[in-house]
Amino acid sequence: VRRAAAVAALAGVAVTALLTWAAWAAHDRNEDRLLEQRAREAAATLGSALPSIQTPLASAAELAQATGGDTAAFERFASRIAGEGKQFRAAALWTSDVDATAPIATVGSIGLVDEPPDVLRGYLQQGVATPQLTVVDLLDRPEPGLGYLFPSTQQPGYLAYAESALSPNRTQQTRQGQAFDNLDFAVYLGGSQDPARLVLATTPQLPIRGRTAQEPVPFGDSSFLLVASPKGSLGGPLMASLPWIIAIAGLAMTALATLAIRRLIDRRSEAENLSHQIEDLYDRQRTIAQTLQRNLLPDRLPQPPGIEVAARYDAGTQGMEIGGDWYDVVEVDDGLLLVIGDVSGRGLGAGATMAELRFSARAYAQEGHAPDVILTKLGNLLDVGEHGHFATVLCARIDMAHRRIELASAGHPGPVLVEGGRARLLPVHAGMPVGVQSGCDYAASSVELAPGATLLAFTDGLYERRGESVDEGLERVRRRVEDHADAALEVLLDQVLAQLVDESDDDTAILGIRWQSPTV
Amino acid sequence: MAEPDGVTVPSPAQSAPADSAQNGAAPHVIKIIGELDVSNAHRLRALLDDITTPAPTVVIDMSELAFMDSSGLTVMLEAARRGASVVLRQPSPVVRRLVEITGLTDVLRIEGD
Repeated sequence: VRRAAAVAALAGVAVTALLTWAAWAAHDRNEDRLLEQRAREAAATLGSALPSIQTPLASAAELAQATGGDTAAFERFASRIAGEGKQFRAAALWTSDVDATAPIATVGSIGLVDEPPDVLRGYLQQGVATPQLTVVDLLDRPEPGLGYLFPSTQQPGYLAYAESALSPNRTQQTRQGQAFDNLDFAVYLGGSQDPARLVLATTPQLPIRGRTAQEPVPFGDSSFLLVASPKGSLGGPLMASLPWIIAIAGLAMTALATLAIRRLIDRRSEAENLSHQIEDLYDRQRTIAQTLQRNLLPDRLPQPPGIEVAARYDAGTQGMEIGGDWYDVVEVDDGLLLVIGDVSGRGLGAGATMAELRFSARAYAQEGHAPDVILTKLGNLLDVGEHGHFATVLCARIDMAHRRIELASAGHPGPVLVEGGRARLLPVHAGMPVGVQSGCDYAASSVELAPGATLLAFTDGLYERRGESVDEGLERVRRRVEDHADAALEVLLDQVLAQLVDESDDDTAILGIRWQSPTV
Repeated sequence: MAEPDGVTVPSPAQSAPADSAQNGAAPHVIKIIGELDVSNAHRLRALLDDITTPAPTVVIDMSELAFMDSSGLTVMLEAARRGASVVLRQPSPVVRRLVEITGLTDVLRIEGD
C-alpha cells in the first residue's frame, strides 16, 4: 500500500532530475552561444579601433610627404593627437632612410628610441616595408605601451609613429551601462594568453578561468587575442535560475503528489472499511429480519397420525425486510385447520399485520369456526385504508376421518391437489382479500380426497412473474408439483421451491400435507 | 427493468365519460403507462389521495399498463376503502386476471363488465 506512494515519489524525483538536467544543459548551451556572440561583438569593436589609430598616422605621413619633411608642420599636426590627455602619449617622424635611426621630429617622449639600434632599425625597416599599420611591442618597458608605425604611400618618403600608454596595472574596470559590462575580458598582443603581452584586462584575476571564449582580432600587421568570460548569466537571471526553479517546483509537486496518493490510498482503505461495515450492517439487518420472520412463523407443525405436514419459507432476494407471507397449521377437534396468507407490502408493518392475522386465525380456529367465518372475522381486523396493507388468505379445514377438505379463500389462489400422480389446481370461490371491506361473506367449497393425496398451498412468490398472467404461473407450479409427485413430501417442497423461487424477489411460503397411503 | 412509468391525468372533458358518475359530472381519469409496482406505487397513491377526496369516481386507464403488483392493488384499494369508486379501463388480460383471482372485481370494477 505504501509502495505506490514510494514509487510515485521516486518517479517524481527522477522526472524532476531529468527536467532540471535538461534545463541546465539548455542554459549551458545558451550561455556558450551568447558568450561566443558577445566575444565576437567585442572583437569587432576592438578591431574597429584600428582606423582611429591608422588614420592620423597615415595623415601625418602624407603631410610629411607633401611638405617635403616639414618638421614644424608635422609637430603642429602631431601635437593635436599626442601629449598629456591625448590619444597618444608621443609621436615621431622618420625618413624612410632606415639607417638614420634618429627621428627628424618628435612630440613628447617616445620610448621606441631607447631600443637597441639594430632592434630599432628592424622596426623601422618593417614599418617602411609594411603598407599598413605596424604594431610595436613595448610591453616589457618600464613604461609599457604600444607603438604604431605607418609609412607614406610614396617611398622613399616618411614613416609616421605614435605611441600609446597602457592603463595602470593594465586593468580597467568596465562600468555599469558600458558596452560589454556583463563580460570580463582580457586582450593580449599576439595569439596566446602570455601574461607578459597583456594589453588590457577588466579583472586582476588572470588568466580568466571558467566559461571563456577566445576571439583573434587582426590589427595592422599584428593581432590581438580577446579572451572573454561572462560576469553573470548572459541569458538573464530567469534563464540562470530556471533549472533551480524546475528542481524546487518538481520536488514540491512530487511531495504533493506523494501526499495526495497516500491520502487517496488511505481514503480508499477507509471506504473499503466502510463498505465492509455496511455489508455487516446489511447482514445483521437481514439476520434480524429473518430471525423475526422465523419467530413469527410456527417453529413446529403438528404431525397427527396418518397425515404428514411440511412447510417452507423463502425470504426472496429482498430478504432485508420482513415479508408478509405466513402459514399455520392448527389442530382442531376433528382434524386440522390450515392457513396460508400473504400480507401486501414488506417491512415491520407487514410483519406486525401478519402476526396479528396469524394468531387471530389460530384463536378463531380453536374456537371451532369454519374457514369462511374465520376469513370474515379476519376481515374485521384489518383496514387497508388505515393500515396500508391488505392480505390474501386461504383457509382450509381438514376432516381427517372422512378425508374431506373445506376451503375458503380471501383473494388467494386455490391449492394444488395431487392424486394418483396427477396434479390439478383446486378451484376456490375467490372472495375479497382481508382488509378491503369489513363484514364480507365468503363461500366455502368442499372436496373429498383420495387416499395418498397431497395438497400444496402457496403464496404468490411461487407463481407471480412480471409480464405473464397469473394462470401461466399457476400452471407452471402445477407442472412442477406433478414432476415431483412421487417424491417424499419434504423433497417435493424442496424441489418445487428450488425450481420456482430462484428468480423471485418476493417472499414465498409453501404448506404441504399428505395423507399416508393406506397400503403403507 | 421496465421503462419509466407515466402517470398522466387527461382533463375530464377529453376522456370518455365513465359509467358511474352519480351526480352527472364527468369522473377523473388517470392513465398509467408501463409497470406499476412497489417502486412507483406511491406516486399513484399521492394522485389518488388528491382526487378521491372526499369520494368521487376515478377511472384508471390501464390500456398501456403492462404489469401491476400488490403495491398497485394496495393504493387502489386504499382509495376504494375511503369511499372512492375505482373503475379500471381496459386492463390487460394479465392485470384483469390478477384482479379476478384476488377476488377484487366488486371493489375495483372493470369498465364494461
